[in-house]
Amino acid sequence: MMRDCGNAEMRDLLPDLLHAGLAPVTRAEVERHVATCDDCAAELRLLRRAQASMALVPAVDVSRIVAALPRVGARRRSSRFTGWRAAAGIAAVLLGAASLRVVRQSGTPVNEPATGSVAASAPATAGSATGTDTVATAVATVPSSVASVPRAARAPVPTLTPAGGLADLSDDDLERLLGKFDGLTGVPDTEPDADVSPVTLDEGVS
Amino acid sequence: MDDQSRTDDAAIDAALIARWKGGDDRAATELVERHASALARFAGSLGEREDVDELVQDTFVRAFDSLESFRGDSSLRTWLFTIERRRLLDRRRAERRRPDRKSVEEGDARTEFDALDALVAGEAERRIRDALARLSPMQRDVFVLRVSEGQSYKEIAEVLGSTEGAARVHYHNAMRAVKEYVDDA
Repeated sequence: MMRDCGNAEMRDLLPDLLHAGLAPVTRAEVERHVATCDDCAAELRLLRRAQASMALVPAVDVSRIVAALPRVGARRRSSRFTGWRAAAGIAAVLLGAASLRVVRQSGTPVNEPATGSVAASAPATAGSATGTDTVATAVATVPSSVASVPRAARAPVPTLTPAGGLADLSDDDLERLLGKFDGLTGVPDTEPDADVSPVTLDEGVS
Repeated sequence: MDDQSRTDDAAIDAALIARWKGGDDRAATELVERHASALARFAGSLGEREDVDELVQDTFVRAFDSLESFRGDSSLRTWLFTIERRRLLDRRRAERRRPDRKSVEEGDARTEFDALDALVAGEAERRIRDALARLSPMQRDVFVLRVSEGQSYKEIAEVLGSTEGAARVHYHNAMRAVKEYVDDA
């Protein structure tokens, strides 16, 4: 029957003795104790057997492991590429912001009336076949319900032209316009309201 | 392992890491050669049998991926043990979530050790393996790190995310349980 030695400090050091992990002075002290203590001698034998039983190492293929490791050069190239992409993204954003500022600060567009209104531009260009109109039609989607309103009662539908019409709006006009857009929903309701009124952007814009 | 040996090992590992960071791939080979066996032994003692090679590889890949963040507060081997143990626990959690896989519980370690018994020659070693299989996972981890790897309680606490005091208590409880089992057998 194995018992525990009462000297807990010595027992604590037995695994270190097993691994030759003690300083010479301490090692000599522990060895002297083990030489006179049957309990610690038995425990040390048990530890040696335990160590041997766990020494069975499953085979590992070092070369395969090394082959799977990341390469320092590859990691650096990757980080450089990531940095380049980030820089390109920032440059694109800055360029876009600068372009918008230039557009907003530029003079009155050629095709726009002197009043700076964008509201009247749609009827005026509705029949033309210019590329500008095609884009304007695509950008400013007019609800189909507008078509059912008599032409005389129909207010001019504002359109956005890529020729700088947006730049002529004041901040207040822009806010009102954006407020109108906020009221639009991209996804149709499954249960549409009975009273669907057309969306017009005339008030306060011109 | 005494303090001087630990310092020497730490210096060797630090030099190899520096060489690897400098682009010397042979340093990676040396690092793997220095620590792969200990990681495989630890994996085996944690009850891993089938995928030890894969687990060790996974551990090294993870470690090398984040080697920049290794500050050397603990030894490299202790850090590797920590990563390996986390990887193993993650795998076992993932296996438990898979409905087609039998969950890996404490008792499974006993089956795994039983299977290995056939390969172990000595009766005494077989009895000890059986005793280890009956320990709680925490006791077994502490016992293996202390007896098989010669880790200090401080290092064991780092690997297990515990305290030195708790590691010491787990070790002595494990030792007592092993003694009792071997006595009774």
